[in-house]
Amino acid sequence: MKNVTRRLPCDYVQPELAPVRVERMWDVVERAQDVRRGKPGLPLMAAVAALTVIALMIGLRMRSVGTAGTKPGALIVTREQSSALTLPDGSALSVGVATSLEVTEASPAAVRLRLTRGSVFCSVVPRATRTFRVDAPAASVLVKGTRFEVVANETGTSVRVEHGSVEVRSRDDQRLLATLEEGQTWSQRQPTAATEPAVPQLPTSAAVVEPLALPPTAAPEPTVTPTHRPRETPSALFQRANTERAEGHAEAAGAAYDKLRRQYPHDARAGLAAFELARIRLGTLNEPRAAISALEFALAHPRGFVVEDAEALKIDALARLGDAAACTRAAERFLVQYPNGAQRARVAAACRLR
Amino acid sequence: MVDNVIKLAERPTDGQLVAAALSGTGTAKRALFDRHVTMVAAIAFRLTGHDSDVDDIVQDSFIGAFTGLARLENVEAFRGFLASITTRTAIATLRRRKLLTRLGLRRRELVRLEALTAPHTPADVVAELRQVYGVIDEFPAHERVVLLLRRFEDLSLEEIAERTGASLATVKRRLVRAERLLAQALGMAESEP
Repeated sequence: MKNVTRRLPCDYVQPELAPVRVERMWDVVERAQDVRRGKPGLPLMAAVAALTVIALMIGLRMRSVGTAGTKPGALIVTREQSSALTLPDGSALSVGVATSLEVTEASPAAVRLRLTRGSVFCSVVPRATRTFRVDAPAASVLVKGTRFEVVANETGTSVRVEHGSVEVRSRDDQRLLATLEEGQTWSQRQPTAATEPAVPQLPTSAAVVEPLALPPTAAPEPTVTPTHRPRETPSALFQRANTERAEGHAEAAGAAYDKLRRQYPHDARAGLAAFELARIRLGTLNEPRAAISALEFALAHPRGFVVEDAEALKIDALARLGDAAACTRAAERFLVQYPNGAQRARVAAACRLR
Repeated sequence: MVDNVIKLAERPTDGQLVAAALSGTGTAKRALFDRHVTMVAAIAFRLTGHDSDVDDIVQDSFIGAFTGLARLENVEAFRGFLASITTRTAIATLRRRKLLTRLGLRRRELVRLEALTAPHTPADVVAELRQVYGVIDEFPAHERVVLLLRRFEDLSLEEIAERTGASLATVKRRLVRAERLLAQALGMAESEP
């Protein structure tokens, strides 16, 4: 029998757990639970309202874009909570906080969004027969298939391309302002009050009998400043992903890992980045199919992680997908290959009990 | 006299909280988290020897436990279930860390014992911890964990088997190997487990 009064060495080895640290950890756990349930986070009102508008008015999720029931004009407004939507063709929109985004067109031939303020990150599935366009205050962004972000705020409009290429055009579509490739950004400053033309003073006496000939009030021609952001090195990307992850920004971390493995598939970190991406997709974002895709990449580039862990994670993802046959087959193979593996119990339980 | 006694609300058991969590009561998960976060963080901290991986392990462990609640046969055994998940998560982290170090993608971090132990730790305990943590980073993850659970947490071989998900025979084999590695590292004669 153990001596229950004796203090064990382990009792003297305890980490510092400040309340703020505990809260931060709980936030991550809770968010993962929310994502799994598909429950909108706080504030509930804003998220529910946004989702309701989307479901009822444009049918982006429920119906095919471009069916008779599709009603352009839907307005997606977020406040303190960002929102994620998936279009029927697989294109995904991540609407940032404090954003106002209007769907002006949604048909099989064209999707057109108007961003009045805030930001939207678009991951557009390539379709030769459909155009995808985002109108921002200073420019329009036209794409075929890519991932990019448009930000519109009081300082101006900016476009950042993460993958593929986009055309930045004037709002009237007459001028091509820039063609951006992967990793490039484009921005245009909003004209400030100081640059606006002065309004002439009204005469102080006598009635005004003639309308004043005011100079045009349009803003001066803005300077277009395409900028080429230096391509992040694999090391910088890996570091950024790890930092984002440590701070609980799972999506941002996932995006950076994803970028690393796509941009530098032969880098020593590529497999590990894909593995970490899969962990995030499965553990936090509840995207088993996307996790499997990342794991397949990781297993084809097996450096920096334990292959057994990746195989076990894949089985977990198959179980989560509900693919019982594939899960069982994979689990049986795994148990033969790793009879004393660390993940043996987890794998044995995964297919049977889900 | 009896009238003055205020009855405190009974603290719900883990089983009651698990049942409530399974029926969709969100606060039950938070209560389970609050109740066990210290234990989970401590396991993560002791097994990895560093503070830097603790948050990740804690989060992954709770997410894994909450996801797998439905497969918990004895709901009162939540603490053991969670400890087992945490141990396996820590092992996976250690293995990853080792690989990263080997590939030059992670700097080797020395265990800072003063950061690891409480200020009032008795000198003999500090000496023992210093001795083991000073050499254990070189050990394979499984051997390291088995040794720490045995030496510092005083778990039986059966308990270690349950915690790590390995068979009793495997645990015995790993413990023998770990003790041999420890003896070699400390320049001592081989000791009995």
